[in-house]
Amino acid sequence: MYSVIAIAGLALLTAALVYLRYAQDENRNDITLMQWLRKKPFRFQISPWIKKNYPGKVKWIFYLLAGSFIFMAATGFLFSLFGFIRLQGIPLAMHAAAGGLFAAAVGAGAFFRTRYYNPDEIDEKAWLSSRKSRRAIAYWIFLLAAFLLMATALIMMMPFVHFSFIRTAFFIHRWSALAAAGAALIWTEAALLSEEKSHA
Amino acid sequence: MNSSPMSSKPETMKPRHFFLLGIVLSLLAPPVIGQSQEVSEEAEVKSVWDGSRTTPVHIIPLKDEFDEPVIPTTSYPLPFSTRYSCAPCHDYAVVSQGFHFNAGHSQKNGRPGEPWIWVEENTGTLLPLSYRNYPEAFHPDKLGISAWDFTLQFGRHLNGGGITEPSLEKMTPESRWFVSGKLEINCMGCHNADRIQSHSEWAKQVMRENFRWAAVAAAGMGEVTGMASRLPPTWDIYDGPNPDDSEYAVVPEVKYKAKYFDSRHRAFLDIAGDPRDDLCLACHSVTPADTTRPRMQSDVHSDAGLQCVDCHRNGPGHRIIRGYENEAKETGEPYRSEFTCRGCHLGKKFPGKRGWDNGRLGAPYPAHKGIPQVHFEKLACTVCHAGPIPAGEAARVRTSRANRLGIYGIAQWSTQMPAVYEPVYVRNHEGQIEPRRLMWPAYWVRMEDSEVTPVKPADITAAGESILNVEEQAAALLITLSTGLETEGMPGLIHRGRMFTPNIDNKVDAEYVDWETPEDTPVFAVKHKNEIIPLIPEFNPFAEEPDMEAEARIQEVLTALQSHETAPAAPGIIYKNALFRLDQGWLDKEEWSGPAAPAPKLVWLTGDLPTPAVSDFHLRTLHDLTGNEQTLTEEQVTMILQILEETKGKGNQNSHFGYISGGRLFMLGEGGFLQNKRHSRAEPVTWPMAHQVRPVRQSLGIHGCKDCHSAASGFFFTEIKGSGPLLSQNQAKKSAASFMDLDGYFQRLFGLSFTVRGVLKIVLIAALFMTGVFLVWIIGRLLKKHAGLADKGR
Repeated sequence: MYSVIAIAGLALLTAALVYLRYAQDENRNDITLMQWLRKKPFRFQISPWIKKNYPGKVKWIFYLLAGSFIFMAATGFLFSLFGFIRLQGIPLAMHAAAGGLFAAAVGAGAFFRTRYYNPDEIDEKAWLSSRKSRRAIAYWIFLLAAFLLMATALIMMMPFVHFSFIRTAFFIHRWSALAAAGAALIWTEAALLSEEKSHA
Repeated sequence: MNSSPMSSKPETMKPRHFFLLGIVLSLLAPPVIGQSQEVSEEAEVKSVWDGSRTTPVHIIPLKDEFDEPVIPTTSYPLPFSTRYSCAPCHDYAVVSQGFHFNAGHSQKNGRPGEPWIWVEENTGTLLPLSYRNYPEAFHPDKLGISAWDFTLQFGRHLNGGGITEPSLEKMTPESRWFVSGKLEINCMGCHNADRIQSHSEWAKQVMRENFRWAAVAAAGMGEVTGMASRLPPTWDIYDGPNPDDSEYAVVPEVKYKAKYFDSRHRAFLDIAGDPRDDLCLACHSVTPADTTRPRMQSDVHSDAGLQCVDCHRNGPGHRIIRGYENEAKETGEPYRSEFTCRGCHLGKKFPGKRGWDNGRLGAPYPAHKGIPQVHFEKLACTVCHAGPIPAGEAARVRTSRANRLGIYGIAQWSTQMPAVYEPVYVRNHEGQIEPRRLMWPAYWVRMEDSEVTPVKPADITAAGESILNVEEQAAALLITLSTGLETEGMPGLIHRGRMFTPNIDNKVDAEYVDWETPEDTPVFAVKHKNEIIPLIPEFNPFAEEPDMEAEARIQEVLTALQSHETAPAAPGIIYKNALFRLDQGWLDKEEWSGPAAPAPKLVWLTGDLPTPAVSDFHLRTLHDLTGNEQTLTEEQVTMILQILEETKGKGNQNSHFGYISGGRLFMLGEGGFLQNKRHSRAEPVTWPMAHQVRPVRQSLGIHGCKDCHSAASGFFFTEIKGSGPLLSQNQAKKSAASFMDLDGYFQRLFGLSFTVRGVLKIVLIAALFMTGVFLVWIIGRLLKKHAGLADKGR
């Protein structure tokens, strides 16, 4: 069930974000979605964004956060969605090690970046259509999911926690990971994906 | 008067051919059982049990093996037969399907269990056997081991029925079933509530080949005298006692105890529906080899008051619940999973059940605090909860069946070999890791192409008995001297500071003595009250005045040696430059032209050169083996292999011989030297273990992850060294991780990662604090915003 929801959910979310971009593109000139996509109507703007938001050595926090999250998502989802075996052995050890880096990066990132995601900036009337709102919402969802991911990981390592609670923690861990992945998708669309200037 | 049943029971006397017909019919019965369809245990229960929770009082007429009433007051009553005595209420054919009896004919063998191990010390044989299709054990039929051989070898710990009750076609020519009778299912062996039930008596009767008398003797209902093993093969039960021999070939006979019978000759059998643990443990004990009885730990379930049969239940079909995880799936009987560890402790729902059968026997629900879920998928419960805690090396244990435990008497029945070790964690065919017991097999093999066939110990003994029985030969020589000498004390052989003296097992014991032997020559001496005196005192053989005392002793020794059973020739004694021998009973002394003997040297006068009574080979072997549990040296193996290679015959030029021990295959290489290599058949034999279960506080992982996940973990890094009857430095070594198909280096690295786990936890806590603060802040902000508090504040 989790696999179906996860795959379908992430696919639908990606499709929804693409469609949102398409719908919001004022210059699409009545072309179909597929025609619009063929024109490559957007591009990643990672470097300029990092230079602006994570100046100097602080940029490593972003790289660390993104790198560890991608690795954890890859190992975690690979085994839970497509693997015939549970995450274990070397991948689990690396997943846990990446989790430590992720936790450090999330903590530092929250310290440096939270002030830029002021909830007051969320446009309640048009939170979906506003990229700024989407970015802020995605950020807070990601932070909440990261909190749950870290909390459940910590709980699972605690020797005083009852096994039934560990199973619950594991359940929360999986769904938090899915929420974090969804939030990361939204945030990437909203923060790093800009309109193609030429197209505009 | 011949008091055979024919004469003692005139009222039931029948023509002999009726009895023979009875014999034939009784012999034909087992295959019918074997072919019968295995029926569901639950179906049996419904058909037999009336719902009462009581055990009926068994005051029943006993029947003999011909279905005739047993009249205990007759002069030669026959032993009772369970097949016919229990038959009115219990279907013998159904009971025969039970796991304790069906090895020979059932296809449903389930999880592999402990094989029977054929232990033959002199030939260094530890051969795993099983009638079930266990992959690491040999099927006795394939090795030419008949039901008769098997029963004689293992009947001590078999409870009758099945293999020990063979059909006519399974009776091999050399067998003596018609003399001994068959070993019927020994119902009382498990169900006798009377504490007189004796497993030792059972074993004793089996070894005497008193098969048909074994059950009644073991149940204590009668005294059994005589030995079927000493009777001629033509003897028949209806020949009755032999009045001409009351000393040696005494016919077995039972004298029933009157107290068990009423006036109508009905017997009171004190039957327990649920066998008591003691009777299970007669065959299922496993004990650490280095412990003492007061220090023994029992299973936590036993400590809690549970009996073996509380979990290992069965219905009339005796298809006992073994309690392993997949048993329900394999048998197609879901109720069996209710009696696994998970069934009682975890409350798992089973197909068609709502989970109400769980938590049986007051089983507590485990907390398993801090244990990641992967452990419950990859490990059997017993990994953490059963057997000894893994330490630097696996613990050596002794098991009832492998080491012949629980047979009491003056004679020592138990054996040190085979060396069984536990726990070894092995990945089973379902990918789950489970604890097992392990033993290294040892046996002689014939190799043709890639096929390895064990050679029967008797064939090896026939090939080189004199090479193998070194200790026995030395003991026999010393015993010959002791019986022939008029001296107090026990003669012994002193060599290189050790004195070898014969022991009760017809082998030798060795002790270190402060005694210098001249020029490495063995010296015969007598030990009496801690004083060691040379058998032949020092003297000058060619002195002008003969030493009469010394020469008398020499004559005495030579006379004794003449009577030595295995003397290859006339005895002689060489001392200095003199050779003493007996000539028609008189001592003859002549000059010895060979090397002078610094101490009296016992020789056999074979041909031109005298042969030492104790050769250098004997001395080397005695030094190497005496006091060791090993029974073979590499030199002995080399010599035996040479004989086997020489005598294998022209038709088998492509076959070679070898010997397996300690995880290696030993073969003759170029130049006739002993070489060794790995071989799949030399790999250890393992079987799952479930007991004994430790208390929670002694579980693996109770002290945290590092119980297993550390660089020095006993769980992963215990080294299992090969062991066996061969005294050799060439032994296999395997790491515990290799049994689990795990990479040892990774596990070491993974174990090291747990040393930084504390840092990881600190990082997580710090990150949680940081993100938590912001989350609280945003939640506060949102609450204020939606509750209108922000506007009010403004």
